[in-house]
Amino acid sequence: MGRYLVVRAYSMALTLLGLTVLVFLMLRLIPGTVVEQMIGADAVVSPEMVAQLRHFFGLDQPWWLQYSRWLGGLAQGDLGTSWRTGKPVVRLILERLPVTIELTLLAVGFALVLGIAAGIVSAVRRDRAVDNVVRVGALLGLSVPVFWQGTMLILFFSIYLRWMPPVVWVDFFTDPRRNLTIMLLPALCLGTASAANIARTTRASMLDVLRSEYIRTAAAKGLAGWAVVMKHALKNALIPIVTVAGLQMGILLGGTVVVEEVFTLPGVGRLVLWSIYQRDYPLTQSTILFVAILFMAINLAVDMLYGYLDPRIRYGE
Amino acid sequence: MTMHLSRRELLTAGGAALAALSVGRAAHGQAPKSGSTFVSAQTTEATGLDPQLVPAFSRSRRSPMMYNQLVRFDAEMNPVPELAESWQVSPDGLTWTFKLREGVRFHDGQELSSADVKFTFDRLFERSPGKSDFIAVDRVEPAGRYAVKFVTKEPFAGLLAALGGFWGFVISEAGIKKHGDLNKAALGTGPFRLEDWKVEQQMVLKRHPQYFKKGLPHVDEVILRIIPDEANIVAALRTGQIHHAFLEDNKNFNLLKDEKTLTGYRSSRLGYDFLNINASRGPLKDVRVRQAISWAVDRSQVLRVAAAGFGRLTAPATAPMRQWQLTEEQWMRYYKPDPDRARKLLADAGHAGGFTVKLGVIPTFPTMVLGAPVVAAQLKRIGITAEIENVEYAVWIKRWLARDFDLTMNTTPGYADPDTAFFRALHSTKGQNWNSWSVPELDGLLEEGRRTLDPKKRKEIYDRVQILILENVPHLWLFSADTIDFTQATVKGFKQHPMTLLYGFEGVWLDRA
Amino acid sequence: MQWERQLRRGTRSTVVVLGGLVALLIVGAALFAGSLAPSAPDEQNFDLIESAPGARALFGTDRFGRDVLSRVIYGSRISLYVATVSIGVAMGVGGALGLVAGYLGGAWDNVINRVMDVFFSVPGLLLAVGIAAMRGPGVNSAVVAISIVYTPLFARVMRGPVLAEREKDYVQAVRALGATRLAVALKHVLPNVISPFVIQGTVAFSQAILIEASLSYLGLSAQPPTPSWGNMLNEGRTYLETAPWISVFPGIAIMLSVLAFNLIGDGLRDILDPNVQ
Repeated sequence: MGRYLVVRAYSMALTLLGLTVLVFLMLRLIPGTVVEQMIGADAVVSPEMVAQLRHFFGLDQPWWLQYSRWLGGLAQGDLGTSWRTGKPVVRLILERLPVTIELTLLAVGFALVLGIAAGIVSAVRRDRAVDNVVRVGALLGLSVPVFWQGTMLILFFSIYLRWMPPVVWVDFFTDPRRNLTIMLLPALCLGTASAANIARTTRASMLDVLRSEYIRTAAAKGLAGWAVVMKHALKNALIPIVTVAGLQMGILLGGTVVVEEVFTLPGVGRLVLWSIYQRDYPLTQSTILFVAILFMAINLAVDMLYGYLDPRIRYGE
Repeated sequence: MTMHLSRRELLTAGGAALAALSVGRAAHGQAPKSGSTFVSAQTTEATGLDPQLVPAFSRSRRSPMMYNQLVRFDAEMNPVPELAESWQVSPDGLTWTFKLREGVRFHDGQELSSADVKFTFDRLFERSPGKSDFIAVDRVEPAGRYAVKFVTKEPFAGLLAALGGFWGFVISEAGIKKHGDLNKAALGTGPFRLEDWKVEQQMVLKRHPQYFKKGLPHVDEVILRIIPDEANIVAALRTGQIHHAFLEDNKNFNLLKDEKTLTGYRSSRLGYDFLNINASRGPLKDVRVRQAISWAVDRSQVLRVAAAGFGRLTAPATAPMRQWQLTEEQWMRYYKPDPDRARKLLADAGHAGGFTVKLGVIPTFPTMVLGAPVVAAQLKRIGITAEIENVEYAVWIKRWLARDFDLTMNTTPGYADPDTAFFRALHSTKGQNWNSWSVPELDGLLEEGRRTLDPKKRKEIYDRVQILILENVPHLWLFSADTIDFTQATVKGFKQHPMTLLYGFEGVWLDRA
Repeated sequence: MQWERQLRRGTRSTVVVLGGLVALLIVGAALFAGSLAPSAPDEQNFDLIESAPGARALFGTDRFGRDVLSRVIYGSRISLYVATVSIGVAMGVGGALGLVAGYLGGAWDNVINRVMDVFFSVPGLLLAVGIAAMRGPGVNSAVVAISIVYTPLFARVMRGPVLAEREKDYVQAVRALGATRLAVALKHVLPNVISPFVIQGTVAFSQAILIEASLSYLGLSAQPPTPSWGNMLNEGRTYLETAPWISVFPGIAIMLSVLAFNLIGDGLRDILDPNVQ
């Protein structure tokens, strides 16, 4: 196991290095820089002033020098300073990250609860009305665009029910109740497609297990229906469910960028978009890197959990 | 809801019912109550706060919270004393002497002196894009502790407008020494000092206890919240989550005007939306083609779609620039849509078959996005195909500086003085020449106007300038949208300003019943 | 038991046929938009601004008095164009890379995998949004972004089975007979691994429609006044209270088309891959 982790860490580091090059170069290809952002339209600008600003941001240096400076900073744990706000990038990320993580966790929680419950019921009551409702619902859930669902929910709640969540952001630790009221709809939207995915997987793997010999044996021994389902079948069906849920968590982390935009939540996704529009290179570069690390950590954790649940899989042996 | 209409609005509207309403509200008859926190929301965050480095209007809007100018424009756009108590011009018109108010304190307790004023403008001329407002100023010199001289290269009539404009805020040398620049910190003499700023979330400002206007500000704290979606701002106003907001999309006025818990404010704005024409591109070189464009565009339809009709058509000098206004008959006759005349002009210019041009739009500016398709549809009627091209802000600026476009939608917060309004944009050699054109008669008049200090003579010059503009069509002045603010009905003492700067918060107080 | 299975297969194929029909309808709308739409998508009517769905405009009109139905019909073009081109490119490039990596192995495999890992290291949607934002808004940016997101996926889907297939006896035998590696890969290995690849393709196609809509919604794909479902939703967002129909219909269009291609994907899976329930 230890050796496996070392190998994984090595390959992750290599991947991250590749990502730094990619993000860095892509940013340099965008037309327009922070300098134009700062000058604005209504100004007499001398070429010297432009040159002065370019120099200030180090934009007059060759790209490899700019790159190695950034990398050097990273190596010392310095994510850099945001050009547009003058704040350390790490502080901006830490301000925004809790929102994104909370949103992801709530959505995953919602998706797991709804998805597994629906999947089990659907498998046990196969081809009954409930099953059909779940299956159609899951298909719809997979097809509805997150932002449209969000828009429609806002429409429904604010205009027909005359209820509006607080529009002013409050973080969880300041006021948990208010915070959760704000997060309710976004988490619901974000989790819908995942719930559908999990429901489909749960149903399929439950059906597999329910058909197998030993479940029939257990049933023959006289164990009551639901006890069999919960005690034996679910446990064995869990492996594919966990895999899917883990994958979903990564997908949801990316999905937050749209949900944050629809519900205007101050998360990392919107920070990335904003920094790209502002041409705030240090902020974009380091934030994307940060998200990538998080994403890879989630994937690693899922793999580990997978190995733990299924003893047949052993890494690095 | 009750409406506050500015005096200007009343004069033109003239409706008895409106007047009665406004008069009824005018006398509050209540002593302002002090204390508590005032929360205002807006969609756009300031990209930085340095009043000399950041040209974005989101910065200018916030600057009066923390800084003062030497001179400021009142609601009628007359220059009135602010940090300067009084001023006079030397007989040759080359030296302006401003006497500073004594006992004005910065947020750090230091007293404002002429050295600060000199420092402010030295830094401005050296580093700021805003130096273009002060183009004719040669140098600034202290004249004792409480007086300062502005020496100009030629008589410069636009100086007061520049001082009271977006780049005229006075900073402290100590502030620069302490913070490097003032992008994330603030050190001024203004009614509020910056306490805390979470970018894209909120800015917290505390009352400046030593503010030089006695008794002001009334509230202890102002919070400027960012709520990026105006639909959410509307909801927040309705549910009482914020005290004040400024509407960017004027159609939302209709959603809020009947809410009993809110007070609405609406007045004419100095700024306007315009269609900029590059007079060096192909057919656009021909003045007849530009005239054809002007006759083809139905400005009131553009206003109707882009600002939901809440605004007015405008001459080159907008409504708040009262003393520079042409009479309505003088300019309205150029604005009556006449497609037949437009087609004839096009044919005379040899473009009877029409042609294709690009029309630039910045996607994050709602009035541009909404106005452009209307302009395009109307140009289509006379055979001109305007392909709408969405250009991101940073790229748009880059191309704007290089004059790389055919037509582009544009918007400006406006100008207090005709010199700043027209010289920079339209002078073919000494200005920025936004249109890449040359009208020698106009150049001459613009230079004369800058040198002329006598108001009556200036007025004659700029009347002629405006007529020349309307005839040569560098831009189409499309419309000037009204400024619309809403506050909770418990908010008293709020005033709008034609420049839409946040001057109005120093007098605000909350009437907690 | 027998009749039950028959029934199940029957309903399943009905569902697939239904999905196919809807998909056909959408493709038809895109191809014949000119004759199907009641008016041009950018035709403004100032006598009919923000009017509710009714006899004069079936789906209502927007702030410019443009016909929402016509814009929804024309909007299908953007969705289908972006999904087709980007998934086509991703399948082509990704498939080729996967084939090379799996079949040649060694250093090739290593390098290709490393590069693909870089693209896998950022969540898909965020990657798409980031790439489109960096390239600058436009339909082509959406195509590039979605292609890049899906290329590594197709490479991976291709590589696994190729790797397995390569070791099989018949491949070794053909090689021993002197066939070139390329010929073997294309003639013998490829046909045997193509079905999971195609199934993945349909699923990705419906996802591409969703991602394009998201990009449009964020203002990163098709630019107004060109109608796309996503940018219509974005425009409609500020009219939710006064003119909800501007948002409702494009949303339904997105959902129906994604659903249709999902159903086809499900059906294909049943047909091509009988092991899956």
